[in-house]
Amino acid sequence: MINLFAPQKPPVTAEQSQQIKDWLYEILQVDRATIISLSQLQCSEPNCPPIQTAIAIMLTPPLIIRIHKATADINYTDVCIAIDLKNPTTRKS
Amino acid sequence: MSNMTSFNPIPVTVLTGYLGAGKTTLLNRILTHEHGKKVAVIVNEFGEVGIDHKLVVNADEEIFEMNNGCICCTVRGDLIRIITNLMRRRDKFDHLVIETTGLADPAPVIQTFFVDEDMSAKTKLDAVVTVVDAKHIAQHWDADEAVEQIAFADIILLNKTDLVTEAELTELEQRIRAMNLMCKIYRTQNSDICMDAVLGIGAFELERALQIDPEFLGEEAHEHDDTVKSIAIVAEGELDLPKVNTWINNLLRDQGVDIFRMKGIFNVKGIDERFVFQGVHMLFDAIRDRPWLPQEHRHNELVFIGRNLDAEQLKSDFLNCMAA
Repeated sequence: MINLFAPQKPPVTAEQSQQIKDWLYEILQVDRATIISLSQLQCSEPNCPPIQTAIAIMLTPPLIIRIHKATADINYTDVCIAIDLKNPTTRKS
Repeated sequence: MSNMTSFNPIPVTVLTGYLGAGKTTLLNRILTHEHGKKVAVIVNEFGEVGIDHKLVVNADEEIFEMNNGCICCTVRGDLIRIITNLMRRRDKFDHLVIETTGLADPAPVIQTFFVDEDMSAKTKLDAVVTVVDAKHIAQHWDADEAVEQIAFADIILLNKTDLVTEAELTELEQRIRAMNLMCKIYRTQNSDICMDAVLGIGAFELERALQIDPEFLGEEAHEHDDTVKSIAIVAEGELDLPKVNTWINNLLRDQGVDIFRMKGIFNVKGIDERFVFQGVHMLFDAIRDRPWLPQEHRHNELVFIGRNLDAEQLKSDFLNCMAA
C-alpha cells in the first residue's frame, strides 16, 4: 500500500531524464526530433509494482516500454532489456 | 535543455465546453485582450470562428495509456508532442491555453500535466475553464462529455444568459453547483469576462486546495437525479493518519474511475500542520501545508466530485478514520 502522505515520487532531474532519452535514441536509432515521454508511476493496484517508469517513444504508433524502477535508478542495461522484452527486433544496436 | 529550464513553469489553462457553447469566442477574447500575457494556443480544430494569432497550433486528439488499463495514466500524446515542440520557443509566450473539442474528455488532458515528467516540470496546470451554453445545455445533460466538462471545471462561464430567464439561470446554477461544489460560476454573454477570472487562477496549487464557499456546504441535497454530483464532508476531530491512508488507498483502488476530482484539508492527530490534498481519478497529491493558526478552527473538509458516489458510505468510512 502506498503511503499517500509521505513525500511523493522520487525526484527526476532533467539530466536523468535526458540520459534515458539519449540511450533510447542510440539504441533504437530513431531521429532525435522524436518526442520521448517519460512518466514515473505509482499505482495502488494489487498487481502493479510500487513504482515504475513508463516511457513512450512517440513513433506512430507510440512504442511504450515499462521498467519497474524509479527513473533515477534506471541504467543502460535496464533500457536494453525493456526494449528486448517489448520486441526483440526493435533494437538496432 | 538548459535554456528551457531557466524559465518558470508555464501556466496552462484548459478551455472546455460543449459544441457551440462559446469557447472560441472566449479564446479570441483571451488573445485580443490587453492583459499583458503572451499567450500560445493549442486548438483541436480550426473552427468556424477564425483565430488570428501567431502561436496557434492545431492538435489531433491522440489518447494513449502509459500503463495498460489504468485510467489515471491515460494521457494525450498530441499535447506532449506539441508542448515539447512549443517549449523550444519558450521565450515567445508566457501562458498556454488549450482549447479542447466539444466532445473531449477532460481527464486525459489534465493527467498529461501530472503524469509526464517533462510536462510536470515545465508547466503548471492553472485551471480548467468550462463554457456552458445556458440555453442549450438542457439538451446535453445525457452526454457524458458535457457533464464531465462541468464536473472537472474550476471556472464555469454560464454563457448566453440573455437567452434564458432569471429563474432558469438560478435553476441551472443550482444543478451545476450540485455537480461541482468547487467551481466558481460566472454569468456571461458572448463569453465576456474579466481576464483575471480565467487566467492566473492557480486552481491546482495545493496551498489553494480547498476554497469552498461555506454557503454551499451542506447543499448536496437537490432535486436532480444526476449520477454526477459533489459530496462535501466537514467534520470536527483529529484523524488517525494510517487509517486515512488505508481508506484513501482503498477508495482510489475501488472507485478511482468514478472519482473525477477531490480536494480537502485534514486535521491529523499529533501534527501541527494542515494536510492538504487533491486528486484527479487515481492521481493523488498531498502535502503538509502551513501550521494551523492559533485562532483557526481545526477541522476536516473534503469534497468529492464523481459519478455514482455513495455519500453516506463516504462519510461513514471517513468518520471511521478518526483517532481514538
